[in-house]
Amino acid sequence: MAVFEVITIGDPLLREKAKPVKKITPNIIKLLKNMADTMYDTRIGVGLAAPQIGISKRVVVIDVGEGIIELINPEIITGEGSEVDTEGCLSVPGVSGKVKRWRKVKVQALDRHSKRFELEAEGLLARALQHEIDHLEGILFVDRAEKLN
Amino acid sequence: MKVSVEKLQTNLVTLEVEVEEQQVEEALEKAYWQVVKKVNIPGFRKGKAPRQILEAYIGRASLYEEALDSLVNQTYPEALKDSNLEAVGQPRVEIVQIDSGMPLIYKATVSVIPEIELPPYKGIEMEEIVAEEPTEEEIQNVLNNYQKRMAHLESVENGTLDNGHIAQIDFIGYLDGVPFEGGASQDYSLEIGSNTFIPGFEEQLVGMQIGEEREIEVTFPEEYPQPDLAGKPSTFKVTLKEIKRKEYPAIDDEFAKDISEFETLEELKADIAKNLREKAQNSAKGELRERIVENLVSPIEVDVPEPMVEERLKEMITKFAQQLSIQGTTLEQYMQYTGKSAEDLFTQFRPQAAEWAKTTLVLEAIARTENITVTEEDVEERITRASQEFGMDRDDVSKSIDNVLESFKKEILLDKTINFLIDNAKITPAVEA
Repeated sequence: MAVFEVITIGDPLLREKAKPVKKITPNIIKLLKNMADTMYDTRIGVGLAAPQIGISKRVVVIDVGEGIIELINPEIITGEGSEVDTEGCLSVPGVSGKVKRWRKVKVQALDRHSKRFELEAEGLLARALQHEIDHLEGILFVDRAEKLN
Repeated sequence: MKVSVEKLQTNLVTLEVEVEEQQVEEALEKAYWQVVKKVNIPGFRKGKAPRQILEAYIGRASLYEEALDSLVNQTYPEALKDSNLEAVGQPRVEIVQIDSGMPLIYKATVSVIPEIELPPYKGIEMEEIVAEEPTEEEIQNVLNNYQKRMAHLESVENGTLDNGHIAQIDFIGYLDGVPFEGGASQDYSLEIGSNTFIPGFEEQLVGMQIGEEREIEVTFPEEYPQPDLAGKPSTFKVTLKEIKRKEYPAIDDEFAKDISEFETLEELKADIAKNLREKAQNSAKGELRERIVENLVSPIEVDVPEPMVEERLKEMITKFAQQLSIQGTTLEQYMQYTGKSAEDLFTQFRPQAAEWAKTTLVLEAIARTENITVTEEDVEERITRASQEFGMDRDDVSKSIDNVLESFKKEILLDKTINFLIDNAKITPAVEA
């Protein structure tokens, strides 16, 4: 098991646009494992994007309590409705804020076997997907928050 | 309409505009129909009072006032155009004569873009700026930065806590033997030696064994933000649950595969070198542009119209406030913190704003002379670039940029003009130092 240190706001890497994964190599599989280990180790994180452990690649893991979802090169295809709720981020310790997000999203990504899949989500999962995909664009929730505490 | 121009300064003129009686009469008549509908005059139904009665009732001046606005709005832009002047900002209007049966005469004083005597701008001589080749050390630094971010945490079994370790602890803080609010936590990861906690706290944990419970005495610093704790001695009961150690990956082929699409460290290093080289080349190019513009513009005397400088100042301060907000503070907080007044800020930014205005005027004058224009394609391309920069959809950018379209166009025009200058400059190879 490899638990990584989560890098925090102020590190320029968190502001970079992450690079798409061209080929799913054994190193990407290792990355997925490291990300999952790191996410579970924090006990509070429901998702993690690769840039948060220092790797500028478009890879995300999420677990909102229904098992792990691994997404490679994820993209939001559609979004509908909107909802304001509280968010926090492992890379912005000690801060939470109200963020407006799509209520429902449809996301497309690759799985670890290079197979394209679609995922429809609402509620916490939809929110986590949008939050993590933002990381791949160099966007942190504090950029979108209407109110921070 | 007759117009005469008096040049007060190179960048300030007064236009004297004479509007024929007939046009004035038409405007007065129009004004009468406007006003008569709104005024109640005893003995008449609304809108039915003849003009003499209305004039007598509300006073002639009110009617003229009504007519005047539309007369000036109609004739002022024409007068500018007839005199080949490009105004900056709003005019100050002064009435010289207004009376029925007489032409209207008014003076409009306004800042204008001054005529600029351009020095020869083709064939500017400039020494090439050579981009430095990235050094092994710079490449190594980039690699080290990647490595530093990839610390992973390894459990230290049966160890003792030392500096640099990350301690997973439960703790309860006591003030005079009573637990205080916010003084306790569970499973807290504390890096020993990071000075995250108050002085003395981390130091006193060194040497602890996993499972050990320790009581430590610390004093909150005088300047501690919570006044009820500042300067107070307190006791913390700390339980060490786990020790972790930061491990960094070796910089090798495996590392290259982890962080990039490359198979070997050599390839990754070549790519880093390529990026560093591109960056250096871009900054050399940027420096050359700056020098060419500076060399051309600095000897030219331009009386920059004041409204142009003021507008730029406002833009600069807005931008500055945006930068501050990215760092999480506001302009007000910044001013409070630095003790600067709004006035100070304006003074501070003023030279830069004036320089910008001057450069813009010179470049625009060259663009006019050389017929450099902004095409639809230029704008489209700029929008595409903005969408990539902000990671936004092209359509979203188009929607949100209505108000910045003008500034895009201006930016493109200046950019093309500078490119024109560079294309026409004599760049000589750099002499090896």
